[in-house]
Amino acid sequence: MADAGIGVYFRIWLGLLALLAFNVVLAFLVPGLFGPWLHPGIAAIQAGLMMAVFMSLRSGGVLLKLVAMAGFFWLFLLFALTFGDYETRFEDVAMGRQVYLQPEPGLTAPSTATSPVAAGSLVPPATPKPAFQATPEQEAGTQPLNFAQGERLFNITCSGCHRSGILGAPKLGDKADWGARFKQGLKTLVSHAVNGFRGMPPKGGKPALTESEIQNTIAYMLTESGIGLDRK
Amino acid sequence: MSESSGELAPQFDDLDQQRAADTLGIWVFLATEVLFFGGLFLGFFVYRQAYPEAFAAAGRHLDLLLGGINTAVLLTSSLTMTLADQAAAADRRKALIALLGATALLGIAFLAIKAIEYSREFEAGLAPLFGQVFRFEGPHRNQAELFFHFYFLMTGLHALHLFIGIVIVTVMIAFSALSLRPLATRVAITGLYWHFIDVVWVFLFSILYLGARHG
Repeated sequence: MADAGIGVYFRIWLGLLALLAFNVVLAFLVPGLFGPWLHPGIAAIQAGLMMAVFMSLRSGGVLLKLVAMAGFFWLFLLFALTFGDYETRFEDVAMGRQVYLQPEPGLTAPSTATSPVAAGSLVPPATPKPAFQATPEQEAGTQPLNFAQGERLFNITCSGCHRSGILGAPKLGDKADWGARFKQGLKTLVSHAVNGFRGMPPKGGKPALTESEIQNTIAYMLTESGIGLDRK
Repeated sequence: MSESSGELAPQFDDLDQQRAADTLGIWVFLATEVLFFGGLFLGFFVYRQAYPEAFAAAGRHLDLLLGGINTAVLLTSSLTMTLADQAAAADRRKALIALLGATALLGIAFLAIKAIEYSREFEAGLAPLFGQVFRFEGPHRNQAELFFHFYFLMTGLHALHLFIGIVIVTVMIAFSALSLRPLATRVAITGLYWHFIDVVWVFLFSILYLGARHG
């Protein structure tokens, strides 16, 4: 163990501190160099120095080196296979670059065109362009909103916040609040509820809910709040 | 050197073989630790790849100065641990106790600084823990919350490891004071665990604190 002089440990320590300073300075001078891998790369050099000298791997036997590297080898496989999968998927959803869900076939939001907005004060919203383009077939297949299902799901999942209004949730019956939000269009509201928005957790914290179930629940809350939807 | 490490367990031929087996044992454990932390790193990388702007924005809320100081503290503790290892091998007891004490104190200093960071993050509403409401200005609130889940889980797990390391080093100080043997091997194995915790931190610092300056 004590074959090397003490001096080498001090030099390694100074080297480690220098690499730390280098890593921090690089983050300010050339942010984004080599993408996200620069800083972990320099950390890997530090780790290599620590393992070789402080952890005496350089003076260990072959077996010891193999065992020490085995963990990192499996870790490499873990990363390589996982990123090999994520990076070669076709859907944008794979890496979450686009978190909007595709509309379910046969589902149509009661858009301003088909549903007469009963509350006269409500100007039919200029719906922001949705992230997806519904095909004509999807637009055509109309499926009436299921308010009974919406009411049931509301009582199970949503009432905790949407009755009391905690976390800034629009309260059931608050026509002004709901009306302001409805101006963004039902699709936006559904998208927010599905993906999460401010205090609204994605799918209300129930991942099993489908987009149409969430749409029905929102439609229920809107009608109960006096926002006219095409209730059949 | 190894003569000073004391008794030979009956299953070994000599002290060198015993020491090699002990060292191999702790390295097998450390290899499992690599994968234990590695899974968390993988999860972090996957989500950082998915939400690069959000993770960069969230990382800017970490205290780079305190984090950098903490990294230097841990690197220095690795130096004192190595020197303690040398002192144990050379059977210099006073130096050994002093160096182990310095190592434990540096570890405690790290945890103290980390506690300051945690408390500030709790005050700023950045801790989505214990039912606290997560507050984050900007367009990526939910993804930022994910970042902070990773942050608290990974640094918390690291802090737990470091706490265990401090306890073991303290036990080694007691052993040294009581002249219990075999000391040199035990200190060497403690050192391997200690250095490994520091290696984990070096990576944590690089991805959590420095990744923020991208984008």
